[in-house]
Amino acid sequence: MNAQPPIIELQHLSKEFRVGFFRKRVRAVRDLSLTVHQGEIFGFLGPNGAGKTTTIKMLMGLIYPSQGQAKLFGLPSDDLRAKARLGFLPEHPYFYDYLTGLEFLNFYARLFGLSSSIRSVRVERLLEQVGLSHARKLPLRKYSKGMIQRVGIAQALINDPDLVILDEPMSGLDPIGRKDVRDIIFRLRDSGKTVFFSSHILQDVEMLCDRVAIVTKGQLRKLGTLHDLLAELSGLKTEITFSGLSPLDLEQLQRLAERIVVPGPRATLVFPNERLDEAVRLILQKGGKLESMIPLKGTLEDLFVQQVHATQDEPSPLQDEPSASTLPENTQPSQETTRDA
Amino acid sequence: MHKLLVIAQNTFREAIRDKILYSIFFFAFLLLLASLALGELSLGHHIKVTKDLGLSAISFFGILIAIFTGVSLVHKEIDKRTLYTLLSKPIYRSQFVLGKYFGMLLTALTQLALLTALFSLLVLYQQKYIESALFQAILLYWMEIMLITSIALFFSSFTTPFFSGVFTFSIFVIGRLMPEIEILLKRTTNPLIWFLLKISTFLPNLDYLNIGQRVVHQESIPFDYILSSVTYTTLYIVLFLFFASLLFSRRDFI
Repeated sequence: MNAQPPIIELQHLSKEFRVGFFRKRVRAVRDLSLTVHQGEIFGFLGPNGAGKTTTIKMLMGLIYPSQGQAKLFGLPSDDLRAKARLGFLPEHPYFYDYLTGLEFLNFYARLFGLSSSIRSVRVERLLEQVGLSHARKLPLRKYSKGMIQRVGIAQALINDPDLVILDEPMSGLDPIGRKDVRDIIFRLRDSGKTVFFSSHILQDVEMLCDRVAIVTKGQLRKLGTLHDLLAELSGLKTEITFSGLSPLDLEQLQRLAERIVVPGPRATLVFPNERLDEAVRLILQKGGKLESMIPLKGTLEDLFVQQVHATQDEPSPLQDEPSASTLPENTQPSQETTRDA
Repeated sequence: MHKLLVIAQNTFREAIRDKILYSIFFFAFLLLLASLALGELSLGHHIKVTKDLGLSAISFFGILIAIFTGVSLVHKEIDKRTLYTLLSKPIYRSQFVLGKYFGMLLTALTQLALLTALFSLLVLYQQKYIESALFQAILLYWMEIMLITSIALFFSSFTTPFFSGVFTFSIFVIGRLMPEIEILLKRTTNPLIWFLLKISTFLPNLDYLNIGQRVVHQESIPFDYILSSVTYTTLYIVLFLFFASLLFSRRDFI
Protein backbone atom coordinates (compact mmCIF):
# COMPACT_ATOMS: atom_id res chain seq x y z
CA MET A 1 0.00 0.00 0.00
CA ASN A 2 1.14 3.50 -0.78
CA ALA A 3 1.54 5.45 2.48
CA GLN A 4 1.40 8.80 0.69
CA PRO A 5 -2.05 10.26 0.12
CA PRO A 6 -3.24 10.20 -3.49
CA ILE A 7 -2.38 13.32 -5.46
CA ILE A 8 -6.06 13.75 -6.36
CA GLU A 9 -8.89 12.22 -4.39
CA LEU A 10 -12.52 12.76 -5.27
CA GLN A 11 -14.93 11.30 -2.73
CA HIS A 12 -18.61 11.01 -3.72
CA LEU A 13 -18.45 14.37 -5.41
CA SER A 14 -21.78 15.83 -6.50
CA LYS A 15 -22.83 19.21 -7.75
CA GLU A 16 -26.27 20.64 -8.23
CA PHE A 17 -27.11 24.05 -9.56
CA ARG A 18 -30.31 26.01 -9.29
CA VAL A 19 -31.11 27.83 -12.49
CA GLY A 20 -33.78 30.05 -13.93
CA PHE A 21 -36.67 31.87 -12.39
CA PHE A 22 -38.13 28.74 -10.82
CA ARG A 23 -34.73 27.70 -9.46
CA LYS A 24 -34.89 24.44 -11.37
CA ARG A 25 -32.43 21.84 -10.19
CA VAL A 26 -29.61 20.89 -12.56
CA ARG A 27 -27.35 18.09 -11.46
CA ALA A 28 -24.01 18.37 -13.23
CA VAL A 29 -21.99 15.75 -11.31
CA ARG A 30 -23.27 12.75 -9.35
CA ASP A 31 -21.40 10.75 -6.76
CA LEU A 32 -18.07 10.82 -8.53
CA SER A 33 -15.17 9.09 -6.77
CA LEU A 34 -11.69 8.50 -8.10
CA THR A 35 -8.06 8.77 -7.11
CA VAL A 36 -4.98 9.74 -9.06
CA HIS A 37 -1.53 8.74 -7.84
CA GLN A 38 1.86 10.31 -8.17
CA GLY A 39 3.51 10.10 -11.56
CA GLU A 40 0.36 9.13 -13.42
CA ILE A 41 -0.92 10.70 -16.60
CA PHE A 42 -4.64 10.51 -16.06
CA GLY A 43 -7.17 11.13 -18.84
CA PHE A 44 -10.60 12.46 -17.92
CA LEU A 45 -12.93 11.78 -20.80
CA GLY A 46 -16.54 12.45 -21.61
CA PRO A 47 -18.76 13.99 -24.24
CA ASN A 48 -19.77 17.65 -24.07
CA GLY A 49 -21.92 18.30 -21.03
CA ALA A 50 -20.70 15.21 -19.18
CA GLY A 51 -19.58 17.18 -16.12
CA LYS A 52 -15.82 17.23 -16.81
CA THR A 53 -15.31 20.95 -16.48
CA THR A 54 -17.59 21.14 -13.44
CA THR A 55 -15.50 18.42 -11.79
CA ILE A 56 -12.26 20.21 -12.65
CA LYS A 57 -13.67 23.47 -11.27
CA MET A 58 -14.53 21.72 -8.02
CA LEU A 59 -10.96 20.44 -7.92
CA MET A 60 -9.70 23.97 -8.41
CA GLY A 61 -11.96 25.40 -5.70
CA LEU A 62 -13.79 27.55 -8.25
CA ILE A 63 -17.11 25.97 -7.36
CA TYR A 64 -18.07 24.23 -4.17
CA PRO A 65 -19.41 20.66 -4.17
CA SER A 66 -23.02 20.14 -3.09
CA GLN A 67 -21.88 16.86 -1.58
CA GLY A 68 -18.63 14.98 -1.22
CA GLN A 69 -15.09 16.21 -1.14
CA ALA A 70 -12.25 17.02 -3.51
CA LYS A 71 -8.75 16.66 -2.12
CA LEU A 72 -5.36 17.51 -3.57
CA PHE A 73 -2.24 16.08 -1.92
CA GLY A 74 -4.50 14.94 0.94
CA LEU A 75 -5.64 18.53 1.60
CA PRO A 76 -8.97 20.21 0.81
CA SER A 77 -8.75 21.47 -2.75
CA ASP A 78 -8.97 25.15 -1.73
CA ASP A 79 -6.07 24.85 0.73
CA LEU A 80 -3.30 27.23 -0.31
CA ARG A 81 -0.62 24.62 0.43
CA ALA A 82 -2.25 22.39 -2.18
CA LYS A 83 -2.58 25.24 -4.67
CA ALA A 84 1.11 26.08 -4.25
CA ARG A 85 1.94 22.66 -5.75
CA LEU A 86 -0.58 22.88 -8.57
CA GLY A 87 -0.60 24.13 -12.15
CA PHE A 88 -3.85 24.67 -14.02
CA LEU A 89 -4.84 25.45 -17.58
CA PRO A 90 -8.57 26.16 -18.00
CA GLU A 91 -10.58 25.25 -21.09
CA HIS A 92 -10.55 27.98 -23.79
CA PRO A 93 -8.24 30.16 -21.73
CA TYR A 94 -8.40 33.91 -21.96
CA PHE A 95 -5.74 35.92 -20.25
CA TYR A 96 -4.95 39.54 -19.50
CA ASP A 97 -4.58 40.74 -23.05
CA TYR A 98 -3.00 44.06 -22.06
CA LEU A 99 0.05 42.22 -20.69
CA THR A 100 2.99 41.00 -22.75
CA GLY A 101 3.92 37.32 -22.52
CA LEU A 102 6.80 38.27 -20.25
CA GLU A 103 4.67 40.44 -17.93
CA PHE A 104 1.96 37.79 -17.84
CA LEU A 105 4.27 35.00 -16.66
CA ASN A 106 6.02 37.32 -14.21
CA PHE A 107 2.67 38.29 -12.72
CA TYR A 108 1.79 34.66 -11.95
CA ALA A 109 5.32 33.89 -10.78
CA ARG A 110 5.05 36.71 -8.24
CA LEU A 111 1.84 35.20 -6.86
CA PHE A 112 3.92 32.16 -5.91
CA GLY A 113 6.40 34.42 -4.18
CA LEU A 114 9.28 33.44 -6.50
CA SER A 115 12.36 35.62 -6.16
CA SER A 116 13.23 37.83 -9.12
CA SER A 117 16.30 35.75 -10.03
CA ILE A 118 14.33 32.47 -10.12
CA ARG A 119 11.50 34.27 -11.89
CA SER A 120 13.56 35.59 -14.74
CA VAL A 121 15.28 32.25 -15.39
CA ARG A 122 12.05 30.27 -15.20
CA VAL A 123 10.02 32.66 -17.31
CA GLU A 124 12.61 32.66 -20.07
CA ARG A 125 12.96 28.87 -19.93
CA LEU A 126 9.21 28.31 -20.13
CA LEU A 127 8.78 30.77 -22.98
CA GLU A 128 11.44 28.86 -24.84
CA GLN A 129 9.89 25.50 -23.94
CA VAL A 130 6.50 26.49 -25.38
CA GLY A 131 8.09 28.16 -28.41
CA LEU A 132 7.16 31.75 -27.58
CA SER A 133 10.54 33.36 -26.96
CA HIS A 134 10.09 35.48 -30.07
CA ALA A 135 6.73 36.81 -28.80
CA ARG A 136 7.80 37.56 -25.24
CA LYS A 137 7.34 41.33 -25.61
CA LEU A 138 4.14 41.13 -27.62
CA PRO A 139 0.85 41.92 -25.83
CA LEU A 140 -1.34 38.83 -25.48
CA ARG A 141 -4.07 40.50 -27.52
CA LYS A 142 -1.82 39.98 -30.54
CA TYR A 143 -1.36 36.26 -29.83
CA SER A 144 -3.12 33.64 -31.97
CA LYS A 145 -5.34 31.01 -30.34
CA GLY A 146 -2.51 28.48 -30.44
CA MET A 147 -0.08 30.96 -28.87
CA ILE A 148 -2.58 31.68 -26.06
CA GLN A 149 -2.83 27.96 -25.41
CA ARG A 150 0.97 27.72 -25.26
CA VAL A 151 1.40 30.67 -22.92
CA GLY A 152 -1.41 29.14 -20.86
CA ILE A 153 0.61 25.95 -20.50
CA ALA A 154 3.65 28.03 -19.54
CA GLN A 155 1.71 29.76 -16.73
CA ALA A 156 0.52 26.36 -15.50
CA LEU A 157 4.17 25.31 -15.08
CA ILE A 158 5.48 28.56 -13.58
CA ASN A 159 5.67 27.18 -10.03
CA ASP A 160 7.29 23.89 -11.11
CA PRO A 161 4.12 22.11 -9.92
CA ASP A 162 3.84 18.53 -8.69
CA LEU A 163 0.40 18.24 -10.26
CA VAL A 164 -0.73 19.77 -13.53
CA ILE A 165 -4.43 19.90 -14.38
CA LEU A 166 -5.12 20.67 -18.02
CA ASP A 167 -8.66 21.17 -19.29
CA GLU A 168 -8.64 20.42 -23.04
CA PRO A 169 -4.97 21.34 -23.52
CA MET A 170 -4.92 20.33 -27.19
CA SER A 171 -7.82 22.57 -28.10
CA GLY A 172 -6.88 25.12 -30.76
CA LEU A 173 -3.51 23.60 -31.49
CA ASP A 174 -2.26 22.45 -34.87
CA PRO A 175 -0.59 19.00 -35.17
CA ILE A 176 2.83 20.44 -34.34
CA GLY A 177 1.41 22.25 -31.33
CA ARG A 178 -0.30 19.06 -30.17
CA LYS A 179 2.94 17.17 -30.45
CA ASP A 180 4.73 19.86 -28.45
CA VAL A 181 2.10 19.60 -25.71
CA ARG A 182 2.40 15.81 -25.71
CA ASP A 183 6.17 16.15 -25.36
CA ILE A 184 5.72 18.56 -22.44
CA ILE A 185 3.34 16.12 -20.74
CA PHE A 186 5.80 13.24 -21.21
CA ARG A 187 8.63 15.40 -19.85
CA LEU A 188 6.49 16.19 -16.81
CA ARG A 189 5.83 12.52 -16.21
CA ASP A 190 9.52 11.70 -16.63
CA SER A 191 10.34 14.20 -13.90
CA GLY A 192 7.88 12.54 -11.52
CA LYS A 193 4.98 14.97 -11.94
CA THR A 194 1.34 13.98 -12.11
CA VAL A 195 -0.82 15.13 -15.00
CA PHE A 196 -4.62 15.13 -15.01
CA PHE A 197 -6.19 16.23 -18.24
CA SER A 198 -9.46 16.23 -20.06
CA SER A 199 -9.57 15.91 -23.79
CA HIS A 200 -11.82 15.18 -26.69
CA ILE A 201 -8.92 14.05 -28.81
CA LEU A 202 -8.93 10.33 -28.04
CA GLN A 203 -5.86 9.70 -30.11
CA ASP A 204 -3.84 11.92 -27.79
CA VAL A 205 -5.36 10.29 -24.73
CA GLU A 206 -4.45 6.84 -26.05
CA MET A 207 -0.90 7.97 -26.66
CA LEU A 208 -0.45 9.68 -23.30
CA CYS A 209 -2.50 8.18 -20.54
CA ASP A 210 -1.70 5.52 -17.99
CA ARG A 211 -5.27 5.50 -16.71
CA VAL A 212 -8.52 7.01 -17.87
CA ALA A 213 -11.93 7.79 -16.47
CA ILE A 214 -14.97 8.11 -18.68
CA VAL A 215 -17.86 10.21 -17.44
CA THR A 216 -21.24 10.66 -19.05
CA LYS A 217 -24.21 12.54 -17.65
CA GLY A 218 -22.25 13.52 -14.58
CA GLN A 219 -21.44 9.96 -13.53
CA LEU A 220 -18.28 7.94 -13.67
CA ARG A 221 -18.82 5.03 -16.07
CA LYS A 222 -15.38 3.53 -16.55
CA LEU A 223 -12.14 3.86 -14.63
CA GLY A 224 -8.96 1.91 -15.12
CA THR A 225 -5.75 1.48 -17.04
CA LEU A 226 -6.09 1.78 -20.78
CA HIS A 227 -4.79 -1.77 -21.10
CA ASP A 228 -7.47 -3.23 -18.81
CA LEU A 229 -10.31 -1.21 -20.27
CA LEU A 230 -9.43 -2.06 -23.84
CA ALA A 231 -9.00 -5.70 -22.91
CA GLU A 232 -12.68 -5.69 -21.94
CA LEU A 233 -13.46 -4.69 -25.47
CA SER A 234 -11.36 -7.32 -27.21
CA GLY A 235 -13.53 -9.99 -28.73
CA LEU A 236 -16.34 -7.59 -29.36
CA LYS A 237 -15.69 -7.41 -33.09
CA THR A 238 -14.34 -9.74 -35.73
CA GLU A 239 -12.83 -9.00 -39.10
CA ILE A 240 -13.84 -11.51 -41.77
CA THR A 241 -12.27 -11.90 -45.19
CA PHE A 242 -14.24 -13.94 -47.75
CA SER A 243 -14.79 -14.35 -51.51
CA GLY A 244 -17.19 -15.88 -53.99
CA LEU A 245 -20.37 -14.00 -53.21
CA SER A 246 -22.62 -12.39 -55.83
CA PRO A 247 -22.97 -8.56 -55.64
CA LEU A 248 -26.53 -8.99 -54.34
CA ASP A 249 -25.46 -11.34 -51.51
CA LEU A 250 -22.52 -9.08 -50.75
CA GLU A 251 -24.88 -6.16 -50.37
CA GLN A 252 -27.03 -8.16 -47.95
CA LEU A 253 -23.94 -9.06 -45.93
CA GLN A 254 -22.71 -5.49 -45.85
CA ARG A 255 -25.90 -4.51 -44.09
CA LEU A 256 -24.84 -6.71 -41.16
CA ALA A 257 -21.33 -5.31 -41.09
CA GLU A 258 -20.15 -2.41 -38.97
CA ARG A 259 -17.67 -1.28 -41.57
CA ILE A 260 -16.06 -2.28 -44.81
CA VAL A 261 -12.29 -2.61 -44.72
CA VAL A 262 -11.77 -3.87 -48.29
CA PRO A 263 -14.66 -3.84 -50.80
CA GLY A 264 -14.98 -6.02 -53.89
CA PRO A 265 -15.33 -9.74 -54.70
CA ARG A 266 -12.65 -10.60 -52.12
CA ALA A 267 -13.98 -8.43 -49.32
CA THR A 268 -12.96 -7.75 -45.75
CA LEU A 269 -15.69 -6.61 -43.40
CA VAL A 270 -15.86 -5.99 -39.65
CA PHE A 271 -18.82 -7.44 -37.77
CA PRO A 272 -19.92 -6.96 -34.18
CA ASN A 273 -19.79 -10.34 -32.49
CA GLU A 274 -23.52 -10.45 -31.87
CA ARG A 275 -24.01 -10.55 -35.64
CA LEU A 276 -21.06 -12.84 -36.32
CA ASP A 277 -22.98 -16.14 -36.45
CA GLU A 278 -25.52 -14.67 -38.81
CA ALA A 279 -22.81 -13.30 -41.09
CA VAL A 280 -20.85 -16.56 -41.24
CA ARG A 281 -24.04 -18.54 -41.88
CA LEU A 282 -24.97 -16.20 -44.72
CA ILE A 283 -21.53 -16.44 -46.37
CA LEU A 284 -21.61 -20.23 -46.26
CA GLN A 285 -25.28 -20.51 -47.31
CA LYS A 286 -24.68 -18.34 -50.36
CA GLY A 287 -21.71 -20.44 -51.43
CA GLY A 288 -19.01 -18.00 -50.37
CA LYS A 289 -15.53 -18.99 -49.20
CA LEU A 290 -14.39 -17.96 -45.73
CA GLU A 291 -10.71 -17.01 -45.91
CA SER A 292 -10.00 -15.60 -42.46
CA MET A 293 -11.60 -14.51 -39.20
CA ILE A 294 -9.63 -12.22 -36.88
CA PRO A 295 -10.96 -11.05 -33.49
CA LEU A 296 -10.26 -7.29 -33.26
CA LYS A 297 -8.72 -5.39 -30.39
CA GLY A 298 -10.93 -2.55 -29.14
CA THR A 299 -9.86 1.07 -29.33
CA LEU A 300 -10.45 3.89 -26.90
CA GLU A 301 -12.86 5.36 -29.39
CA ASP A 302 -14.90 2.12 -29.34
CA LEU A 303 -14.97 2.23 -25.56
CA PHE A 304 -15.91 5.90 -25.51
CA VAL A 305 -18.69 5.50 -28.06
CA GLN A 306 -19.94 2.37 -26.29
CA GLN A 307 -20.21 4.24 -22.99
CA VAL A 308 -21.89 7.27 -24.50
CA HIS A 309 -24.40 5.09 -26.37
CA ALA A 310 -25.05 2.91 -23.34
CA THR A 311 -26.13 5.89 -21.29
CA GLN A 312 -27.83 8.04 -23.88
CA ASP A 313 -31.28 6.61 -23.21
CA GLU A 314 -30.96 6.78 -19.45
CA PRO A 315 -33.79 8.68 -17.86
CA SER A 316 -31.88 11.65 -16.67
CA PRO A 317 -32.57 14.39 -14.20
CA LEU A 318 -29.51 16.02 -15.67
CA GLN A 319 -29.32 18.77 -18.11
CA ASP A 320 -26.20 19.57 -20.00
CA GLU A 321 -23.13 20.55 -18.15
CA PRO A 322 -23.69 24.13 -17.00
CA SER A 323 -22.79 26.44 -19.77
CA ALA A 324 -23.46 30.03 -20.65
CA SER A 325 -26.80 28.98 -22.08
CA THR A 326 -28.03 26.95 -19.14
CA LEU A 327 -26.75 28.91 -16.21
CA PRO A 328 -27.04 32.58 -15.44
CA GLU A 329 -23.88 34.56 -15.89
CA ASN A 330 -23.78 35.46 -12.24
CA THR A 331 -25.32 32.71 -10.23
CA GLN A 332 -26.50 34.20 -7.02
CA PRO A 333 -25.22 32.57 -3.90
CA SER A 334 -27.82 30.09 -2.71
CA GLN A 335 -27.90 26.98 -0.65
CA GLU A 336 -26.85 24.83 -3.57
CA THR A 337 -24.27 27.06 -5.10
CA THR A 338 -22.44 28.30 -2.06
CA ARG A 339 -20.45 26.79 0.66
CA ASP A 340 -22.03 26.57 4.07
CA ALA A 341 -20.96 29.46 6.25
CA MET B 1 0.13 41.21 1.81
CA HIS B 2 2.64 40.65 -0.98
CA LYS B 3 0.07 38.80 -3.14
CA LEU B 4 -2.47 41.51 -2.48
CA LEU B 5 -0.01 44.11 -3.78
CA VAL B 6 0.77 42.00 -6.86
CA ILE B 7 -2.94 41.89 -7.70
CA ALA B 8 -3.33 45.61 -6.95
CA GLN B 9 -0.41 46.42 -9.23
CA ASN B 10 -1.86 44.32 -12.04
CA THR B 11 -5.27 45.99 -11.61
CA PHE B 12 -3.60 49.38 -11.80
CA ARG B 13 -1.73 48.32 -14.93
CA GLU B 14 -4.97 47.11 -16.51
CA ALA B 15 -6.80 50.34 -15.67
CA ILE B 16 -4.10 52.70 -16.93
CA ARG B 17 -3.94 50.77 -20.19
CA ASP B 18 -7.66 51.37 -20.66
CA LYS B 19 -8.37 54.27 -23.00
CA ILE B 20 -11.76 55.10 -21.44
CA LEU B 21 -10.08 56.28 -18.25
CA TYR B 22 -7.92 58.64 -20.27
CA SER B 23 -11.06 60.15 -21.80
CA ILE B 24 -12.56 60.75 -18.36
CA PHE B 25 -9.29 62.27 -17.19
CA PHE B 26 -9.08 64.43 -20.28
CA PHE B 27 -12.57 65.90 -19.66
CA ALA B 28 -11.72 66.55 -16.02
CA PHE B 29 -8.57 68.32 -17.17
CA LEU B 30 -10.59 70.45 -19.61
CA LEU B 31 -13.14 71.34 -16.94
CA LEU B 32 -10.38 72.49 -14.61
CA LEU B 33 -8.95 74.70 -17.32
CA ALA B 34 -12.45 75.99 -18.08
CA SER B 35 -12.83 76.93 -14.42
CA LEU B 36 -9.96 79.34 -14.90
CA ALA B 37 -11.60 80.93 -17.93
CA LEU B 38 -15.02 81.10 -16.23
CA GLY B 39 -13.39 82.63 -13.18
CA GLU B 40 -11.89 85.37 -15.33
CA LEU B 41 -15.34 86.10 -16.81
CA SER B 42 -17.15 86.41 -13.49
CA LEU B 43 -16.78 89.87 -12.00
CA GLY B 44 -15.16 90.00 -8.60
CA HIS B 45 -15.65 86.32 -7.71
CA HIS B 46 -13.22 84.74 -10.12
CA ILE B 47 -11.23 82.86 -7.50
CA LYS B 48 -14.42 81.47 -5.92
CA VAL B 49 -15.60 80.21 -9.31
CA THR B 50 -12.28 78.53 -9.96
CA LYS B 51 -12.27 76.89 -6.52
CA ASP B 52 -15.92 75.86 -6.73
CA LEU B 53 -15.68 74.41 -10.22
CA GLY B 54 -12.31 72.84 -9.55
CA LEU B 55 -13.45 71.03 -6.41
CA SER B 56 -16.65 69.94 -8.16
CA ALA B 57 -14.63 68.60 -11.10
CA ILE B 58 -12.36 66.62 -8.76
CA SER B 59 -15.36 65.18 -6.92
CA PHE B 60 -17.49 64.44 -9.98
CA PHE B 61 -14.78 62.84 -12.09
CA GLY B 62 -13.43 60.98 -9.08
CA ILE B 63 -16.84 59.43 -8.50
CA LEU B 64 -17.12 58.62 -12.21
CA ILE B 65 -13.74 56.84 -12.19
CA ALA B 66 -14.65 55.05 -8.94
CA ILE B 67 -17.93 53.71 -10.33
CA PHE B 68 -16.41 52.84 -13.70
CA THR B 69 -13.45 50.90 -12.30
CA GLY B 70 -15.46 49.47 -9.39
CA VAL B 71 -18.17 47.91 -11.50
CA SER B 72 -16.10 46.85 -14.49
CA LEU B 73 -12.79 45.44 -13.29
CA VAL B 74 -14.02 42.53 -11.16
CA HIS B 75 -16.74 41.66 -13.62
CA LYS B 76 -14.19 41.60 -16.43
CA GLU B 77 -12.14 39.00 -14.54
CA ILE B 78 -15.23 36.78 -14.28
CA ASP B 79 -16.56 37.46 -17.75
CA LYS B 80 -13.24 36.88 -19.49
CA ARG B 81 -12.50 33.92 -17.21
CA THR B 82 -9.09 35.30 -16.23
CA LEU B 83 -10.29 34.66 -12.69
CA TYR B 84 -10.19 30.88 -13.22
CA THR B 85 -6.43 30.87 -13.59
CA LEU B 86 -5.90 33.49 -10.92
CA LEU B 87 -7.91 31.66 -8.25
CA SER B 88 -6.07 28.43 -9.02
CA LYS B 89 -2.94 30.12 -7.65
CA PRO B 90 -2.27 30.16 -3.90
CA ILE B 91 -4.35 33.22 -3.06
CA TYR B 92 -7.45 33.66 -0.92
CA ARG B 93 -10.49 35.07 -2.59
CA SER B 94 -10.47 37.90 -0.06
CA GLN B 95 -6.92 38.74 -1.19
CA PHE B 96 -8.24 38.99 -4.72
CA VAL B 97 -11.07 41.33 -3.64
CA LEU B 98 -8.79 43.54 -1.56
CA GLY B 99 -6.07 43.50 -4.24
CA LYS B 100 -8.62 44.65 -6.79
CA TYR B 101 -9.83 47.34 -4.40
CA PHE B 102 -6.38 48.75 -3.78
CA GLY B 103 -5.60 48.60 -7.50
CA MET B 104 -8.75 50.58 -8.23
CA LEU B 105 -7.88 53.09 -5.52
CA LEU B 106 -4.39 53.46 -6.88
CA THR B 107 -5.89 54.19 -10.30
CA ALA B 108 -8.44 56.71 -9.02
CA LEU B 109 -6.06 58.41 -6.62
CA THR B 110 -3.26 58.71 -9.19
CA GLN B 111 -5.60 60.53 -11.52
CA LEU B 112 -7.01 62.63 -8.68
CA ALA B 113 -3.50 63.52 -7.53
CA LEU B 114 -2.78 64.87 -11.01
CA LEU B 115 -6.05 66.81 -11.04
CA THR B 116 -5.36 68.12 -7.54
CA ALA B 117 -1.91 69.26 -8.63
CA LEU B 118 -3.39 71.09 -11.60
CA PHE B 119 -6.11 72.61 -9.41
CA SER B 120 -3.51 73.82 -6.91
CA LEU B 121 -1.50 75.45 -9.70
CA LEU B 122 -4.61 77.24 -10.96
CA VAL B 123 -5.46 78.54 -7.49
CA LEU B 124 -1.86 79.58 -6.91
CA TYR B 125 -1.81 81.34 -10.27
CA GLN B 126 -4.91 83.33 -9.35
CA GLN B 127 -4.43 84.21 -5.69
CA LYS B 128 -0.70 83.56 -5.17
CA TYR B 129 -1.34 81.36 -2.14
CA ILE B 130 -3.38 78.25 -1.37
CA GLU B 131 -5.30 77.66 1.83
CA SER B 132 -5.04 74.32 3.65
CA ALA B 133 -8.84 74.13 3.91
CA LEU B 134 -8.94 73.34 0.18
CA PHE B 135 -6.85 70.24 0.83
CA GLN B 136 -9.19 69.27 3.68
CA ALA B 137 -12.07 69.39 1.21
CA ILE B 138 -10.09 67.35 -1.30
CA LEU B 139 -9.15 64.82 1.39
CA LEU B 140 -12.83 64.25 2.17
CA TYR B 141 -13.60 63.91 -1.57
CA TRP B 142 -10.87 61.29 -1.74
CA MET B 143 -12.51 59.51 1.19
CA GLU B 144 -15.83 59.64 -0.63
CA ILE B 145 -14.22 58.14 -3.73
CA MET B 146 -12.66 55.35 -1.65
CA LEU B 147 -16.07 54.63 -0.18
CA ILE B 148 -17.88 54.66 -3.54
CA THR B 149 -15.22 52.29 -4.95
CA SER B 150 -15.83 49.86 -2.08
CA ILE B 151 -19.60 50.05 -2.66
CA ALA B 152 -19.17 49.40 -6.39
CA LEU B 153 -16.92 46.45 -5.57
CA PHE B 154 -19.46 45.12 -3.08
CA PHE B 155 -22.21 45.08 -5.72
CA SER B 156 -19.78 43.65 -8.29
CA SER B 157 -19.24 40.66 -6.04
CA PHE B 158 -22.72 39.35 -6.77
CA THR B 159 -24.42 41.21 -9.59
CA THR B 160 -23.92 42.48 -13.14
CA PRO B 161 -22.02 45.69 -13.99
CA PHE B 162 -25.26 47.42 -15.01
CA PHE B 163 -26.97 46.80 -11.69
CA SER B 164 -23.75 47.45 -9.77
CA GLY B 165 -23.52 50.83 -11.50
CA VAL B 166 -27.17 51.69 -10.87
CA PHE B 167 -27.06 50.63 -7.21
CA THR B 168 -23.78 52.42 -6.54
CA PHE B 169 -24.92 55.61 -8.19
CA SER B 170 -28.22 55.46 -6.25
CA ILE B 171 -26.34 55.14 -2.97
CA PHE B 172 -24.17 58.08 -3.98
CA VAL B 173 -27.23 60.24 -4.73
CA ILE B 174 -29.05 59.17 -1.55
CA GLY B 175 -25.87 59.79 0.45
CA ARG B 176 -25.50 63.30 -0.92
CA LEU B 177 -29.20 64.04 -0.26
CA MET B 178 -29.09 62.82 3.33
CA PRO B 179 -29.87 66.25 4.93
CA GLU B 180 -33.00 66.52 2.75
CA ILE B 181 -33.96 62.93 3.57
CA GLU B 182 -33.69 63.67 7.29
CA ILE B 183 -35.97 66.70 6.92
CA LEU B 184 -38.50 64.66 4.90
CA LEU B 185 -38.40 61.93 7.50
CA LYS B 186 -39.58 64.38 10.14
CA ARG B 187 -42.35 65.77 7.97
CA THR B 188 -43.83 62.73 6.20
CA THR B 189 -47.02 61.12 7.47
CA ASN B 190 -47.07 58.24 4.96
CA PRO B 191 -45.78 55.13 6.79
CA LEU B 192 -44.38 53.53 3.62
CA ILE B 193 -42.41 56.62 2.67
CA TRP B 194 -41.29 56.99 6.28
CA PHE B 195 -40.08 53.38 6.24
CA LEU B 196 -38.15 53.82 2.98
CA LEU B 197 -36.60 57.06 4.17
CA LYS B 198 -35.67 55.46 7.47
CA ILE B 199 -33.89 52.62 5.69
CA SER B 200 -31.99 55.18 3.57
CA THR B 201 -30.58 56.75 6.70
CA PHE B 202 -28.58 53.56 7.33
CA LEU B 203 -26.63 54.27 4.15
CA PRO B 204 -23.50 56.40 4.40
CA ASN B 205 -24.19 60.09 4.75
CA LEU B 206 -22.01 61.56 2.01
CA ASP B 207 -23.00 65.10 2.89
CA TYR B 208 -20.46 64.86 5.72
CA LEU B 209 -17.78 64.56 3.05
CA ASN B 210 -19.02 67.35 0.83
CA ILE B 211 -17.48 70.44 2.39
CA GLY B 212 -16.37 72.08 -0.86
CA GLN B 213 -18.94 74.88 -0.71
CA ARG B 214 -18.16 75.66 2.92
CA VAL B 215 -14.44 75.85 2.17
CA VAL B 216 -14.98 78.08 -0.86
CA HIS B 217 -17.01 80.41 1.32
CA GLN B 218 -14.17 80.62 3.82
CA GLU B 219 -15.94 78.71 6.55
CA SER B 220 -13.43 77.20 8.91
CA ILE B 221 -13.67 73.45 9.35
CA PRO B 222 -12.59 72.07 12.73
CA PHE B 223 -9.97 69.35 12.70
CA ASP B 224 -12.26 67.12 14.79
CA TYR B 225 -14.83 67.26 12.03
CA ILE B 226 -12.31 66.05 9.44
CA LEU B 227 -11.09 63.30 11.76
CA SER B 228 -14.57 62.03 12.60
CA SER B 229 -15.61 62.12 8.91
CA VAL B 230 -12.52 60.11 7.94
CA THR B 231 -13.24 57.58 10.72
CA TYR B 232 -16.92 57.38 9.77
CA THR B 233 -16.07 56.71 6.10
CA THR B 234 -13.34 54.21 6.95
CA LEU B 235 -15.81 52.16 9.00
CA TYR B 236 -18.21 52.02 6.07
CA ILE B 237 -15.37 51.07 3.70
CA VAL B 238 -14.32 48.21 5.98
CA LEU B 239 -17.94 47.05 6.21
CA PHE B 240 -18.49 47.06 2.44
CA LEU B 241 -15.15 45.33 1.78
CA PHE B 242 -15.92 42.72 4.42
CA PHE B 243 -19.25 41.86 2.80
CA ALA B 244 -17.75 41.98 -0.70
CA SER B 245 -15.09 39.45 0.39
CA LEU B 246 -17.66 37.28 2.13
CA LEU B 247 -20.02 37.13 -0.86
CA PHE B 248 -17.15 36.61 -3.27
CA SER B 249 -15.69 33.81 -1.15
CA ARG B 250 -18.96 31.91 -1.13
CA ARG B 251 -19.70 32.28 -4.79
CA ASP B 252 -19.46 29.59 -7.47
CA PHE B 253 -17.63 30.56 -10.64
CA ILE B 254 -19.46 28.60 -13.27
